[in-house]
Amino acid sequence: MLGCATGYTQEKVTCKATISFHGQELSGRMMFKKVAEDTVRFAFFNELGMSFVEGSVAVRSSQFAVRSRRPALKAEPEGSAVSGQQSAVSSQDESANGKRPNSNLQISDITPFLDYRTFVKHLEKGLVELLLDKESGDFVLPALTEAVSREMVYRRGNRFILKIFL
Amino acid sequence: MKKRNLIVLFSLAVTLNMTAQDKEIKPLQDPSRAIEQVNAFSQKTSTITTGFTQEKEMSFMEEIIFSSGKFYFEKEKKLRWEYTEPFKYAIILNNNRIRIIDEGRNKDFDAGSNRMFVEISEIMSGMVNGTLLNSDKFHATWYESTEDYVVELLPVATAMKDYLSMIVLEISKKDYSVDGLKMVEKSGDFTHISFRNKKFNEEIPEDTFKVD
Repeated sequence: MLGCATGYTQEKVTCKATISFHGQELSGRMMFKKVAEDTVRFAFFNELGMSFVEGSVAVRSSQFAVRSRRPALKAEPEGSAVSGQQSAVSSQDESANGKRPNSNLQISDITPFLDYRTFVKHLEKGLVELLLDKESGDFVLPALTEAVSREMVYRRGNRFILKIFL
Repeated sequence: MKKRNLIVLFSLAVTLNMTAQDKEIKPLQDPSRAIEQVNAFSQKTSTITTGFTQEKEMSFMEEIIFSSGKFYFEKEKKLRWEYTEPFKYAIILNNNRIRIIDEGRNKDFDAGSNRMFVEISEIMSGMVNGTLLNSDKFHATWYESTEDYVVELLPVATAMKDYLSMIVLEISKKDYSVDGLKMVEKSGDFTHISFRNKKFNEEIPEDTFKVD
């Protein structure tokens, strides 16, 4: 259970964040919200109110998924469109097979600017544990290696970076 | 009552309120006179200072985010869009230079390097200049209520359609200034900005628009 395992004491946090996507960079706000025991939703939006990424990090009985509900930004290498419904499964498969994930969206410099600092403090740990599959032994997908997980979520000073694979 | 239920109730109340307002809105058969009045207002207005409140609906997150701040405009292309609550953030457009002040940290760049901010800034500026309603970037449909003209602006350019499906301007029938602005995203989520305490043609300190 994400909440129990990581000691979340709050259900919502809003952070400053920067997203990088194929060389484009946007700064804005990132909201994480625990909507169920095993699900955290997130959204990235700029100060003017435009949303660019929405998704969820979830541990379900049979799978782990990071999904983007919306296309983050338009461009995709080689000209192919980004699907807003694609999951991270293929990237994770590659990761599990020892290949480096194709990180085409990176959310970085996530720092709290409102309340719920406890939530943020533990979010990194929680996400890494999700990726490491410590809590559940019956995932369909093999857990990522610790190195890859640490690469997806890592700390820079008092900030941390989350890479999301679309 | 759980917070989520409160949000649902609030959303419902907002929706019902908007529906009630929508019922009073009817198509404006001939907007030419309104356009003339808005253009005339724009011609005689050199500065605008106004407070604003903003609501952003995020259906996926089941959240409505409130923020507020001040807005400054000076002809021709000077604009300061400043959020003061719940965080301090400002976008300053001074001709072709943009400064973003984020929690006290300045970042300057050319307007050409951030098309989205430029587009939004031009929308805000264009309203005052009277150019937006005549812009070929939007297809305008006019409505009216007892207090406002309501103009639905549908973006023509594909690039803007990626961000916005529609902009709705609420223009006061009293002074022909903008009372409100609603940006509707492709998902249906929207951001509504209401302007209050508007002041026109008052001198604005030059430092307000300072960009290195």
